[in-house]
Amino acid sequence: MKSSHLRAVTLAVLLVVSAGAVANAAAPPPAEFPPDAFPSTYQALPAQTTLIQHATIYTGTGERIDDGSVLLRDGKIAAVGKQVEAPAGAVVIDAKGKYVTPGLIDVHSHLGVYPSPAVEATANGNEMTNPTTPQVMAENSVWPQDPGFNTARAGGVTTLEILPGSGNLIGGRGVVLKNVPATTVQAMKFPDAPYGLKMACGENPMRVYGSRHQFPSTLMGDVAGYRQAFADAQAYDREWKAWEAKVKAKGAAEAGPPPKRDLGKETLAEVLDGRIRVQMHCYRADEMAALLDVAHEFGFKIAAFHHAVEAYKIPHLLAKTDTCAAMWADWWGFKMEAWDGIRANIAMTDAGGACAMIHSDDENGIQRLNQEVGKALAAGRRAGLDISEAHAVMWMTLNPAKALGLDNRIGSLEPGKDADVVIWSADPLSVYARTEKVFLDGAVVFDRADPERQSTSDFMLGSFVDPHAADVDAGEGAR
Amino acid sequence: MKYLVMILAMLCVACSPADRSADRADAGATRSAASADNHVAGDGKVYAITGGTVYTLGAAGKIEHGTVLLKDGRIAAVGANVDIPAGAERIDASGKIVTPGIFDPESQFGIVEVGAVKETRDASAGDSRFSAAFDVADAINPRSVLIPVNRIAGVTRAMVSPTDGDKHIIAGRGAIIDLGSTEGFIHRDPAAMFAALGETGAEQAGGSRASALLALREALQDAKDYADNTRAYASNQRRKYALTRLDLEALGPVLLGKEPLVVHVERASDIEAALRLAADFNLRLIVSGGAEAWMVADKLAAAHVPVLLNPLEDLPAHFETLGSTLEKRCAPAESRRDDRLRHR
Repeated sequence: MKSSHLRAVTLAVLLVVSAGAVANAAAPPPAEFPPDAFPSTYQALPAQTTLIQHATIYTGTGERIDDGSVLLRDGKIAAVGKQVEAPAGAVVIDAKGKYVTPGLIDVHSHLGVYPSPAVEATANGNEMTNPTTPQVMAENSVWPQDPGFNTARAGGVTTLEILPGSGNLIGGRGVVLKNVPATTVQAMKFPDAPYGLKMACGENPMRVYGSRHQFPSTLMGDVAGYRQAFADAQAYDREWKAWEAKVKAKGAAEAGPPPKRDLGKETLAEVLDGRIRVQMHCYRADEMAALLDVAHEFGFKIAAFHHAVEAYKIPHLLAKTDTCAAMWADWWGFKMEAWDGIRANIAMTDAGGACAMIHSDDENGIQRLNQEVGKALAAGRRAGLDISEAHAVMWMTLNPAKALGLDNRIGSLEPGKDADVVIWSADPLSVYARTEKVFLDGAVVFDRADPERQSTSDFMLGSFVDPHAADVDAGEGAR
Repeated sequence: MKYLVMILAMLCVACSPADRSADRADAGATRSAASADNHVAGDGKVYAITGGTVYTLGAAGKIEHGTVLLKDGRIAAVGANVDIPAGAERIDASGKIVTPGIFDPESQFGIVEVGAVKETRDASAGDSRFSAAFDVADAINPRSVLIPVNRIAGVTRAMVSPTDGDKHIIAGRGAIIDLGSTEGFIHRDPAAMFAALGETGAEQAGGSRASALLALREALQDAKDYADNTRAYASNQRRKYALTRLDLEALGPVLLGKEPLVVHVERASDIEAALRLAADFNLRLIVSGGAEAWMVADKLAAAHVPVLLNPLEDLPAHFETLGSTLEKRCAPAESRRDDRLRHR
């Protein structure tokens, strides 16, 4: 396996460094660069082969299948279609009158890093001691006992990206989790998912540091801050490259000790390498355009702009650079950079050819992403756009999977993909719909009719609220 | 839908018909320029909304293929068989649902335009000397762009309420506005007094919910003493009060039960403390927040205290909301609705 650092060098050379410098991609990785300091220990829960039949299926690819079946086997989607035979011994679920979608995906959550209850000891989402902190990792702040993981799961969310907050220009690494009950964050980590790097445009960093009379206090300070950070990362790359070249030419003994590792620059080098995906908090169209230029200057890619309340103004720029936009259905106006928000944002961004999606950024909103998409769809139709429900379902399934770089593994009901599936009591874009069963890698991780399949945070155990009686609504279904 | 109906039912209680306008206290120098209990008499047209499924939320319940007749700014008739006057403008609502306009019981329409822009925020007395006398009506901008945005979502009236927890236990007075007009938009002012106990109150009162309760109790005692001895106060014959003269005056209608006191409390024990306070001073209490109201629903019902809930919050976001759940939140609301039907 190549080191992340070497890959970064290779890309940086190709894109930025002047001709003459040649990286040797075949050099062995330095032993002190582990691919992941906190490797995933996730193991799928026990699952039975399950056939869901007679359901209305939104596949997540924009298709709708009436009276269709989905077969879940060995943790994967085995078959989807009008007629699927039940293998011997399979659990068969008659979902007549019900709807089936892929598990929902939220690319922007602070569960675990800003958990419930919100007290000083649990406010671990923003390392606001320096405007540039690429060295911190959200997973080191995630409290797996945040009760919000359970309520999000009850809302059908099977994959979520936990991000640092937006107080810093570069806030640190996010982490992609499979939403299973667990004691450690490693046991939730989506195996081999690319890391995300949280960055933030606009008012938040300049307010946090400007109020302390520190850099940055302006938008121009913000942009200079990103650029200098990546320029420094390039220099770091060159330093390592020079040492590696020396090792190759003269041998390890002659080359001397390697340069000191800098965790922040190492992270940015991996961004330059394309191994870490930039997830960028940005509201205004003009700021997003500036950041696309910064990304071009340094040769990295922005996977998605988050919040993006003005994405509807620049779908062509987003489409051209293959940059997604993760948006709310109707949050707007709470600060200047959110002033031009419109309800048709998702629909118009989508119609303009860009990769559009819902996101929550909220422990309550994440429980009802389906309703948020319903609102966004309705707003798009009121704006005159012709959008099907099956297409809108992509805004909470396949498109967020794409933003995470996981669209080959999750986000749609296609054979070979992870068996993350939700059975809904009614059309999920209706306010009356509730999840009935949530499957993750083929295992039932939530069942509204079975208290044994409704996980409870350790934090709530022993409290006066009976966790198993609280939100159980056995078998009632739509209302 | 179940939630929505319950919320509306609650609001009918919290902001019940303008039946107390006759005995309004003279608030003297603190009266807002805007008039109270305005009635906007419509646009001169008669409208007949026909054919819809009408949720009256009144005694008639749900009416299929109903007609709602609007005249002179009032609902003139509602039912399955309503005579439609000649010249009425008909609106065909076949296949649609007709409900009362939505009432938001705690909003900041017209007093906060952009939350993060301080020049556009007028929602609290903050660093000023005033607390109870603070009246949002004097700051409301009926031309706020948020008003039409919410009007198209069905919100027709709202309580505009001051921000609680901004340096005062008593945040001040809210007003009920009409979202349909920039003239005479104040429907009732003052409509309610707002205060905070629990965690929010504790933060303003030195760090304990107990001192927050003391501060509120002291304010009410002072206001009562002031009301009983106004002349003596003017000639320096009274002890020193904790509040300014205008604040004491503003609390007068609250002590007389003419104006409700909306107290933000979440924890069951804080709700019980608010109930005791209200009983001691014979106040018309409304609980706002009420995450754990379901745990003391019987007491709330017995005291006829409405609860303004956020039905979507179901996480233990704070230690005072550990009992937050979706389904159990409905319990007090059910009590309220039944209570309203029985007693009013």
